[in-house]
Amino acid sequence: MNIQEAVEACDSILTEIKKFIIGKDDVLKHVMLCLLADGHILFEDYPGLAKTMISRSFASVLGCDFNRIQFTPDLLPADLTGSEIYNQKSNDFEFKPGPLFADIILADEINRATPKTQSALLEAMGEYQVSIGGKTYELISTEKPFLVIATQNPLELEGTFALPEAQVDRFLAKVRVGYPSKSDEAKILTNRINRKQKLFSLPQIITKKTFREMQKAVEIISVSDELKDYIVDIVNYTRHAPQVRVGASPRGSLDLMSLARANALLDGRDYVIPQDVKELASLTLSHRIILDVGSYIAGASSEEIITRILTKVKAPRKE
Amino acid sequence: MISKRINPLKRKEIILIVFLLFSLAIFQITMELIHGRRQESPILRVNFPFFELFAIAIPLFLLIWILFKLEFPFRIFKPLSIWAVSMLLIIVVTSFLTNANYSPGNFNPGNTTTIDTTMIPQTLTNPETVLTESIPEHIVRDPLFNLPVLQDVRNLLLVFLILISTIIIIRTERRKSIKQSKESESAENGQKIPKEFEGGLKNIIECYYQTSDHLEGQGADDSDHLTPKEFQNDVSIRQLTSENDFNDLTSLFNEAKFSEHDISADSVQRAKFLSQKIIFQSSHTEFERMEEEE
Repeated sequence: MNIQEAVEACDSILTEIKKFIIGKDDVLKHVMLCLLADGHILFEDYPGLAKTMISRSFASVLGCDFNRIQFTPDLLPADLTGSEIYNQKSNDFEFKPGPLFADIILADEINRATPKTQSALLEAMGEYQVSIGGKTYELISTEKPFLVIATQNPLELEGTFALPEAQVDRFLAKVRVGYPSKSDEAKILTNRINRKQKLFSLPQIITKKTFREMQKAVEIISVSDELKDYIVDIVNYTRHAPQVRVGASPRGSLDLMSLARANALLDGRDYVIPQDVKELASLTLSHRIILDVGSYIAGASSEEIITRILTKVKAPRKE
Repeated sequence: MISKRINPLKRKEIILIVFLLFSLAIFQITMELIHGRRQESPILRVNFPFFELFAIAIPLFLLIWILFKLEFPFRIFKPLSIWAVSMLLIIVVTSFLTNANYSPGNFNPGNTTTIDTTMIPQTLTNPETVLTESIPEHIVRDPLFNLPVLQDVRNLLLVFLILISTIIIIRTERRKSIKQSKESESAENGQKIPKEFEGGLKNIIECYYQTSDHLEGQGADDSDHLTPKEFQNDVSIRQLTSENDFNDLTSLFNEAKFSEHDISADSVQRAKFLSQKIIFQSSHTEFERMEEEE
């Protein structure tokens, strides 16, 4: 698949979803970028902001198998990965795959599960496989994607557990949905009246094989040496910024580059420009840094700190 | 009102002011050389301001030549280096012509040839007569103006300037000749300029640098952290130039600098055209604005 075909496919996907998800064009674009970059997404916001609906809509149009897992405090790791069950007929243990064996997983309210269960996702998200009973099962193939879309409520809500840092680092981006504007909210109501039913379903636009080809098209996007240095400079600065206790990892650099390449593809270019990097740095780095106590008490958010860091790093524009 | 006029006086203008001050200093040295030997040389004794004119006219001609020779707007380091070498050549030639052994504070080069009285042989019957006959009259005259910055360190600085400037000029000329030969080759073949041809890429990138430098001088945000796209937006918001022209130039720059594409000769020509157009237009707008303010 060439870039032009990938851009056309992305446009038709976004156009279809925008018919139902009103006023969230930026969020939809960010989700599309993460899907193209083959990275997991963490939605963080209050309930009722269409986090689940966005995930389900993308799974529908991409023609992917979709599983929704509601995370609760009593959820066990085996509930996610599956387990081996003894079959009396064959007199042997048989593997019963868990809900992780789908193309797109919606881990709803992931921070309501205990850290032990959350950690069960680590191998799946990082290595695209699960190991059960000494056997390893692949979650991804050339024709099968594997993506985790997790949603979480902000930590100040009761009954939630903070995600382990190692798991947070495996998410390509943290996306905040935010409340719609008044006019957009009015449009949502109008749409609901016109639809005449509570639920809606989106048509399939592409196959998952095509989707995998779109992801492969991202690999042909070139990144110049100046931009590699720019990415490294940004990530490196997060490790030395006075407001930050723990900076971003090299995985952060890789993910920032992946997102920048996906953005270039979505823009119809086969090369990354500095704007791709700067525009998406906050999206992919903000959840990877841990602020120091002073900044935390002062009420600064990770996004604000990343934005501040971006004003300290020289962009490759001048000589 | 004043700040508006001073703000654009940043880099290039400050360098120009330093350049003029330095010209003045060299002019002083030349004058000292000439006046110090005036009484001794029959040519210099002629009451005609030939050498003064020479010292003034040459730097002026050089400046004019630089302005015309280099593509406007020129990068300041090129004329500066050419100018430095030229000025130093003037000093050397003038020193040679006047046979002066110039040292700071000594405006009478005759001093260097005074006879040490202890070396006079005792056989001379009347040493006073010898001294009065052999020692030339000291011509004591004040310098036209004296700049305290001129110390002995200057001599070393000048030697360094000569060396550095010569290297820069030779390298620039060599690159120019290579670029011209490659351009002519590509024009003959009617093909795209390959990526390996650094000249095409550098031309576009250089055009963008010149244009953005100029726009920064006109008031655009010169922060280092701005990406080309952000800078383009800033220029657009401030309405410093035609939005489409600078957008096009930014796109060409992005492609030349960050892509692996082959750059066509048309793109290079387009970048040059856009750069000159933007600079001319924005200069014209700024001039009109200042006139309106007055």
